[in-house]
Amino acid sequence: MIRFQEVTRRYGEKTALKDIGLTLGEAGIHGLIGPDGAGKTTLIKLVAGLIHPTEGKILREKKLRLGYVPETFAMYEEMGVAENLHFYGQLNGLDRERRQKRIDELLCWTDLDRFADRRAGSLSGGMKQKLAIAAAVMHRPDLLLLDEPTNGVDPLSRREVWRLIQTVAREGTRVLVSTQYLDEARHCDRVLLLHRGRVLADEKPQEYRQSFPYRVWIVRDAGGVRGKWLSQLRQESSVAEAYSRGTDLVVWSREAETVGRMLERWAQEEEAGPVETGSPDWEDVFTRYLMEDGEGEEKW
Amino acid sequence: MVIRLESLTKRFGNFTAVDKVHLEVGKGEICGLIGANGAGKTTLIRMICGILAPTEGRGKVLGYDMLKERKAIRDRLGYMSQKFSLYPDLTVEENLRFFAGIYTVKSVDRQVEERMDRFGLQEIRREQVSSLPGGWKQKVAFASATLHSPSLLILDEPTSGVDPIARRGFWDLLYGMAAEGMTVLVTTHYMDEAERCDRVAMMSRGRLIMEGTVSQLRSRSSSSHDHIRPTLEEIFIHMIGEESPRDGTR
Repeated sequence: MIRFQEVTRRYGEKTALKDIGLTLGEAGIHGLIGPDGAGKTTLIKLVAGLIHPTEGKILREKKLRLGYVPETFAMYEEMGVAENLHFYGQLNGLDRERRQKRIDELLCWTDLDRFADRRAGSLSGGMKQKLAIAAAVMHRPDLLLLDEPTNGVDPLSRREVWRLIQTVAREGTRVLVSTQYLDEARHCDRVLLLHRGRVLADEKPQEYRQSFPYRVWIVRDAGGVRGKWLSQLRQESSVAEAYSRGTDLVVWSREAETVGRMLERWAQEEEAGPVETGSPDWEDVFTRYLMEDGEGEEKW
Repeated sequence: MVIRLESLTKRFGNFTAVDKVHLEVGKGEICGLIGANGAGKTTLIRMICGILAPTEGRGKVLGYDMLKERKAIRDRLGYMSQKFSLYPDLTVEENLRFFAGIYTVKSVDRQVEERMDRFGLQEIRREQVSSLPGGWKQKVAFASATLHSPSLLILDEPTSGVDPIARRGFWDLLYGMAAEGMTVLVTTHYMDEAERCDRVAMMSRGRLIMEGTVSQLRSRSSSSHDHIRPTLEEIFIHMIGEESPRDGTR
């Protein structure tokens, strides 16, 4: 649908995206994941055509219909929920009958039917996001762009927003959605990891798990030995990474058996544990690329 | 106990924002406070900070009475919000000196140097804060909030939007300071972040609905899940889901 060829985008002196080559619109839900300042909004605005590359090219399929939900709420706060949707339907040239049918469907998907007459400005954060998404898919776009739809939204509403995104994807709309919450990668069919303007990786979720080069050990209930163990583990050459996650201690190693036995022994001596093998979470996956990139030197 | 709340309640007119909350947090503990928007987290934190007076109930923070000794409490805690309240036009060092002034730190030079050493800020001491990446800004904010070596540190969504390496670094420092006896209260609705706390307290509609270590919460709620090991987010959604249906408005 859309192809980036060596795209660089600068704002004055600052490089927001550097030499990006990628193809978008092939996965159902394509997640664009990275911390603040990674270049997520710039990438989405480039796809939307709101800004243009400083260098490189973006090739678009002809007659591609886009839907776009910006980071900030762009509905009319003083207008009602259904009224906002009617307005967007009119903008998209839907006639009255088709508009009404589509609005009924969208109100049902979003669970906003109970609030159809409510002022948009009075909705909670999660509800506002769902309304904005509904307005953006009014015309059944080929590609829907969502810029951090779950930012600052609480866990319950966040789940509802993701359910809505999945419903939209099932209808055949391809979705490109950005988030700073790494664990939201689990909702995506393809995950692009972005950091400081560069693509770290762009793969399917299972490929990330398969290519993770370390065994992950988790020592449960290790809160009490946290400081002591971490300083010892970080001196072991067989340990690639060790960190504390609450009362769990997480250890990566290529030499799984040796490290596993060592942790078992320690755990018995100091009443920590059990020691389990785990799978990497999305933060582990992201960190792995940062470390391979030498970004780990910026560790503090 | 650094924080001890007994039946703490706050009403605004007819609305009960915090409803009979009991909570104890010990010295050196990192306690996570989680809940949906409007669950009462902010009101509870404001009372603990001594900014708001409770309507009913009582409590002690750092040994001071929440009703009568609010100023003493305010003077002894550190606070860091998600929107780091740093001065973007000042350098790292100038920011630290400014906050040292606000917190009436004695021996400013020594404290500022000590913080910069500990947080690895010496190299960037003359950089303007606005030019720093997010993870570094966060680190400067963290150093500022702990300049006066507070016994209690309140963190509001401390690591949202920073990269995972910066985040681990932040938590490493935090675990270290907790081991030295600083008590930490973290409010967040990012469950990944809450999982890093020693203990988690969940709020819904003004009430404290569940409280314990992450593994305790897991074992308590595992019977209601088909998962062997539910995530904190699953536990949270399950618990909140059992509450009455939600309204869509604020």
